[in-house]
Amino acid sequence: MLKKIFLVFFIPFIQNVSAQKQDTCLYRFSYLFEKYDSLTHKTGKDSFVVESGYHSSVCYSSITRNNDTILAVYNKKVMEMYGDGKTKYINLTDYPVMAQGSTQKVYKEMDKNEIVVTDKVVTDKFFYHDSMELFTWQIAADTQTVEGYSCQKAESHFRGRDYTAWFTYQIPISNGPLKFGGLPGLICKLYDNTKRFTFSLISFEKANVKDLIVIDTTGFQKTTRKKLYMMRKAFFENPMGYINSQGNVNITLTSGNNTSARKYDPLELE
Amino acid sequence: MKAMLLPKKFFFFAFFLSLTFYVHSQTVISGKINNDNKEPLSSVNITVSKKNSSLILAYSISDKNGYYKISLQTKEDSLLLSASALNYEREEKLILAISSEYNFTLSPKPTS
Repeated sequence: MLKKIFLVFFIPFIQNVSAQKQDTCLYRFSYLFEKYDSLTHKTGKDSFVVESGYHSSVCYSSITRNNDTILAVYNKKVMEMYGDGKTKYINLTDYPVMAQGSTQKVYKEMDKNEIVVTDKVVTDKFFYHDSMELFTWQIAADTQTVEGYSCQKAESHFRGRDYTAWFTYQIPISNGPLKFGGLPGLICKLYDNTKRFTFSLISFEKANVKDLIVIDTTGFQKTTRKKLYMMRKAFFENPMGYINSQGNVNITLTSGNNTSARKYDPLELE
Repeated sequence: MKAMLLPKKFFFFAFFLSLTFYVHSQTVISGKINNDNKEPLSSVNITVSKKNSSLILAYSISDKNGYYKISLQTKEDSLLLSASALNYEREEKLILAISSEYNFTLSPKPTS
């Protein structure tokens, strides 16, 4: 009797604790992301990996993922150096200089028709929900071969920009990089009409049997897309002001100007 | 004289009405996708193309209850309706280009 009560008490408790959802990763594909800056005539690069399962998928920057692995090692080292409790300042030059990737992670829950995005502004972690019905694709009759796949053209407007996507019926996954998807086949190439943002499929492969997709928002603060947009904009336009207004950390610059203001020009303008 | 004009106008109007009706006639194809165990399959791509072409004219993706609906305007007499999903055998049906219901039962691909 007592055992039963014990069980009844704990089962809902266990379910509540894990804010995680799991899926088996079936396929893994990646895109080269190029962002052309018309002011500096420079092309910034990133690499997005999409892991696709039975009813969900996740898209993340492989640069950020690699950085996180490297940073974990350095964090440990730095903690050993300064972790005596007396040192209040950490010298950022103890860290390596690394290429920066997107901090965004886009989870798609096909069974719930919902997108969950986790992101970071400096060290603050946030998540928000978005709809999966973001595009009104118009299919055209144009065809092209991309990475060996027969592709067909589709166009859609999305939050302030017009996009052209080339998708293939040969891979019946209705997915693409970041929030993009909803076509009858995998997106192989995608760009906005000013060719400022380009995504190109560079690999498609079957995942290992034991790979999992874990949707985890533990430690992330719930917010809305609009609020996160404003926070990121504030940070981009005045990095030092943003950091110091948060009150937790104070950063003193000794050299360099890599914290200067940049123009905030995200994919989603609205 | 006026009584004679009215029918003429009417026929003129009726002629144009029928014309617009003809131009905008839509074919609506809908149905349900199941697996071998009669369970609904979601995220299945259902596409409509011309008989001998892989070019997609219209499409739908089945919802969580396995339902799909495609609306299109076409001059073709017959169309190729295909259902494809990862790890399932692709199914194709040659159909008449008229509004109708088509259900699919997809079998899993043999695991390689």
